[in-house]
Amino acid sequence: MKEQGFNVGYIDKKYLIMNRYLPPLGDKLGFWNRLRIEGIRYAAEKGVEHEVLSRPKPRGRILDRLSIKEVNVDAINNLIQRLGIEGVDRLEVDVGVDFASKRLSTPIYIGDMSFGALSGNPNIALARAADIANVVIGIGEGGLHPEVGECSNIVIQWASGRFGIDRYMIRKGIAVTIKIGQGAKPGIGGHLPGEKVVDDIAKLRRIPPGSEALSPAPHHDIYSIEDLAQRVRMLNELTGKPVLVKAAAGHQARFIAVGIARAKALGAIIDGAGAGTGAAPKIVRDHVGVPIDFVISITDRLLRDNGLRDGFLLIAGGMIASGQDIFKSILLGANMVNISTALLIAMGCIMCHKCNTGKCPAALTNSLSEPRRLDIGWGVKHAVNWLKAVERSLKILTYSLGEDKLQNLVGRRDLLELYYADKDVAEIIDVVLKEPGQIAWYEEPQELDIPFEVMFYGKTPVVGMGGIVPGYTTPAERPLDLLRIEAAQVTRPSIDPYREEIDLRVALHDGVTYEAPIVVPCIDDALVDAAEALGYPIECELLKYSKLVEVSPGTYPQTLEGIIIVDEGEFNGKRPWLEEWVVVLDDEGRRCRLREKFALVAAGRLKDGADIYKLIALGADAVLPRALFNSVKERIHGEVKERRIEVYENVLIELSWELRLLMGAGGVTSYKSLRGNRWLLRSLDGYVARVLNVDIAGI
Amino acid sequence: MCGIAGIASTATQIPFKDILKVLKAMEFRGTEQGAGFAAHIPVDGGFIRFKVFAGDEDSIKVLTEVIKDLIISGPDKVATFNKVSVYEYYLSDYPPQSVYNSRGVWVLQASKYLNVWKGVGWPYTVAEAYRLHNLMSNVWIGHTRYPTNSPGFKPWLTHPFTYRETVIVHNGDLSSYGINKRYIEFRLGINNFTGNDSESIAYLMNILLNDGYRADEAINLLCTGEVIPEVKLDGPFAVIFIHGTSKGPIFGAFVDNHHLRPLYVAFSDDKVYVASEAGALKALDHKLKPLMLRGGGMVILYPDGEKVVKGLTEYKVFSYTTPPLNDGINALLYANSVDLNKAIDDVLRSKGYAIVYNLLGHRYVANGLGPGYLELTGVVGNSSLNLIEGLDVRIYGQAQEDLADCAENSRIVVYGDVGDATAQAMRSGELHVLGNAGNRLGVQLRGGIVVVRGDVGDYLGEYMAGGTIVVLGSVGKYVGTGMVGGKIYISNYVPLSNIGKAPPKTQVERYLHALVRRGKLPEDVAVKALNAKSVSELSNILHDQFRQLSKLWGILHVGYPHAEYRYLRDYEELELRNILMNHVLITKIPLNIDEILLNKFTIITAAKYKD
Repeated sequence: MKEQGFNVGYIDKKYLIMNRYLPPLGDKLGFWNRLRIEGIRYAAEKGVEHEVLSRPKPRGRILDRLSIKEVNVDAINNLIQRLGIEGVDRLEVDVGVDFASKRLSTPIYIGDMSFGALSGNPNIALARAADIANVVIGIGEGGLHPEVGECSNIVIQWASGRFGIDRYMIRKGIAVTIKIGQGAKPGIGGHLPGEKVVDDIAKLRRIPPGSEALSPAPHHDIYSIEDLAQRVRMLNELTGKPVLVKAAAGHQARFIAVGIARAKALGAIIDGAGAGTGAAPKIVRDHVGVPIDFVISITDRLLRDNGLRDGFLLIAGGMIASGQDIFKSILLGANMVNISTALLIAMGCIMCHKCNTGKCPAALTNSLSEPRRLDIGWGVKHAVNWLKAVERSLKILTYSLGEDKLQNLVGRRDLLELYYADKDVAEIIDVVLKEPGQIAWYEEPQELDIPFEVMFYGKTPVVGMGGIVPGYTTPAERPLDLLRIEAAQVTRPSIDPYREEIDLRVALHDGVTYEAPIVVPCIDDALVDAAEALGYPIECELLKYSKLVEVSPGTYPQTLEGIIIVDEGEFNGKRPWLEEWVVVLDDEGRRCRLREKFALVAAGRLKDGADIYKLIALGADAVLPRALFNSVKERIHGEVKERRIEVYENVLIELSWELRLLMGAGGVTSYKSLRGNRWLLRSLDGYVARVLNVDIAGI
Repeated sequence: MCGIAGIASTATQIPFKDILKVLKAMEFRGTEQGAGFAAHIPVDGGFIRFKVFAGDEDSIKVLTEVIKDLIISGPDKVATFNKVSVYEYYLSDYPPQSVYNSRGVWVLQASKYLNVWKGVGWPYTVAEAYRLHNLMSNVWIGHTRYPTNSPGFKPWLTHPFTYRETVIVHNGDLSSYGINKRYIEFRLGINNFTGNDSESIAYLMNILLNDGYRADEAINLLCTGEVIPEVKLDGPFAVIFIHGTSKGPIFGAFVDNHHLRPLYVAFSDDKVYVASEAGALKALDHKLKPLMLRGGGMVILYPDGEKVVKGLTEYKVFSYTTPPLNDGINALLYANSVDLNKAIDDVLRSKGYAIVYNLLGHRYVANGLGPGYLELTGVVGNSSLNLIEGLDVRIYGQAQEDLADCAENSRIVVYGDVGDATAQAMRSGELHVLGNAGNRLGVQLRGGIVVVRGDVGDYLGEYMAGGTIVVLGSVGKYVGTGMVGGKIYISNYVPLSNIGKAPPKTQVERYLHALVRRGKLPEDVAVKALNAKSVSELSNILHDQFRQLSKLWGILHVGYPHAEYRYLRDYEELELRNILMNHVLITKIPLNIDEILLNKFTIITAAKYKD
């Protein structure tokens, strides 16, 4: 069978069976680039990783900037070549871990991907691979696929949607995982798009076919840590099995882990930013939550300080893709890792970010109504090979440190050295700083590409798969991009803006109340009409107000009253930045007790709801995203006015949904609680943190 | 976070053991990581009672030097937790603000009228450390702690939190902490915060009360952010407070607008009782009738006896016969829920029916059990009757949160109120509630029938995917948001703005006016649209124009529920008559079904998520 010119498989009666790798797409910039995909495929074919250890890199994750003391990169890569697979397997090194009733061979928990998110065969292949490689796998929240149920290393998930749960099914695994959140979309519930809710999936989940299977953003019975403890105990009593809790890495991850340990759970799966997903709002995926490597060490330390570390499994997830990632995570303080994307890549994922459409070309995340099916045997073989390859890397790394048990190395941060980072980050991860540098990675702004669903449907874009963390795994355009947004996990519920009220109304100082803190420039009559109809502030209307001044960053207004517009003109990266000046003027206003006398409007090369959220949290009253509106204007140039009005309305409405999604993720129900609330932000970069007066990620 | 309680009276002195007993009954909500109490016990001579935590003598020496001109007596070491001691002074006046910012010491209290005790431990161990057992006061509040956003071993992070004459206990977690804290910093000149979000509530309440607001007004400002946006509390909170004044103590309790944390209130003679759990109040006095405080609700008792009560459920009275207890299971004899459930399971298996009495907020009752007939008396605790199958249950009394999660093919009758998230993801069977229900009744209901005689809170039938819900009382806001299947009948008019998550009314008005201005909509049509009683009506009036307006509902993501207010159609009347006749048959509490069916109903069905 020829498809797109490649030989992809064979036809079995009605299905096209996938048993080959398709050419990888990969992200041009981003974690899951073509090189990484090819590396995983190499390991999945050969059973050994191409590179066991690499040198610290000046860009990317903290994990990529860490080196292991006294381990020579070339020597260890040569050693594994020399020993060969048989040689490594003969090493008397134990990289396993006790998990519930099992002793696993490798400290891997295969991430919870539901039947529905994956199309059945991949669920079966992964569950069988987990049994063969003797790791553990979470089944996700779609109910139990009968053939997955026959496997022995499965963990049942209890999620907010309760899909497919009954009193028999809940007892079928070796443990139960309560899913609070996931790294790709902290504060947002599971989402199986209607396209994928077909046949068996709809029946198993007990929802009408074609409807969106949305899990509530929080568990509606878990609004606090004592509620979680109650659920942990309830599930433990009901099933007689140990219970784990999976939560996304928000700012408070370490306290949540401690709360989970105190609830006598077996472990906490903390899932960092950049983790994979079947469907997530893009704005949330890219800006909410913290990468896992900021969190592991501080969580490990807090657990120890509270006397809760013994017997508790700290499981780290999010962009963990190789043996050395796992090894460094363990040195930082984890016991195990949570992996899913890397295994999908081992089974043929090309990283096209289209999981949400149900049209996966590799037959992994496709809808059951699509004609492709993964060859289970082929999938199992490659997944097992990759797991074995990683196990071998772990063995050789453990061996090279003269240790025979990997679990003895948990939290041995003294064996790590950090390169190319600032001292604030080094302090957070408690690792010696060997060579100073900057985490932030800037590049010239790209041309803005506004998705069609924003312009023509007023709909927030939804995407699949992760690996995108601006300024970290992909370039930042400005310091604002280095700021991560808080997500509510466990200690308070996140709010789903499509079902619950989030109040964006703002009173500026011209005596008018507006529906959203988003100022619209007067660059097109149609835009002004759209803004007026929706009740957004309009720049030229504000300019008529007598007490209005415009300043550029670095300039103080004559008096702190009325409306102050800080306009950066063209962003050039030079200090003081717009974001910095918002902080300065907000602080000044509060210090002089004049803050209620003026409204601060930040205008500049700003493009989305995340920019608006962050500037308001830093201290602005409203934000004028010039780049966004200029770009929309260009796109619809020449259309008739009514058509332009509609597009502008869509963009303005969508922008407010983005802002609400971000606020809701953190459990913020009102604009009033957002403005000046810098506690909701964390910086990935120490320098940016100091200039903008926000805490560093991980704290 | 955790469990909170309060007892107040304008006439009677209440012994300490009462508040301790209520907290003890909520042990489940706490840990040994902290507890505390506060009472209204004015200092003789009008002096200031000043207590601080300090880890070393040197810090105390420095502090003593700073306040030496104010000291009447002290410092006296009164208790020690994890190597951190509490030192008590008596001062001639409030200490300077700088003591709040000094290194090495944390102010526990500086007040004329209050006495506050807290530390690391269970409520009874903290009480022993301070030797509180014989104390009396007319107002008590207490807290048992499950640490949330701070470590458990530092005593200054425990509750209550006090600023001058205001003391609070809090269950919840504030997303607004960052901005609340900045406001306090600039308003009071305090910059050394403990990092526990709850502290901000004490400061903010004190600021507002000192600004001259009455307590009920102050609570209103904290809940809405009107006048001062920075004082708005966001996120879950249930708070109980005392504010000391020269006229006596003001006592009160309030819950956030969304009812994200529970509080139950009971009255007897001159007393007001408040606790996180109904069962805890029953444990103190079985005659008390705990009522749910709904989202945005409050109870305040002023020193002159004036009571302000807002958002409290009504007590519903029915007559029913409770089962004989002689061959029942006494819940108080079982140390934990595993043993209790094993006993229930054994009896169900051997006899096919079981009776359990003396339930005082016991959790997990009968989870995973069935089939059989089960009678429960008292207060059924959180997460009970979860994942049951084929169980026929009568509850004589009330049930707290999370009843009947994932229940299948069971029948549950509750002769009283049920708490939040009842019948979550219930798969099939019946639930009959004779009293009221909390928020999120039938959230994600997958099938079966739910009938409620009383009133229901917000988010009724959220994410509902199947089954039928019938409410004969009133309902709150956001009915049927994200509904994808099933049907809700409400025998009342529910306004458009309360169905689904409607956009702000102001924005709809603006939008329609703008259409009129641009000549896209005749004025009379706009007026008609603004008076529409349901989304369907609005959609019919606006025709094509509705498509654009509907985006304000987020229609393309989850849509808006289809709602009509009208008389029942024949097939609906038949359906409802069957449901209600069965309901009366099962509950044995009569109902005038014919009269009810003559009413207009608000009928809500699944969201139209795809046009």
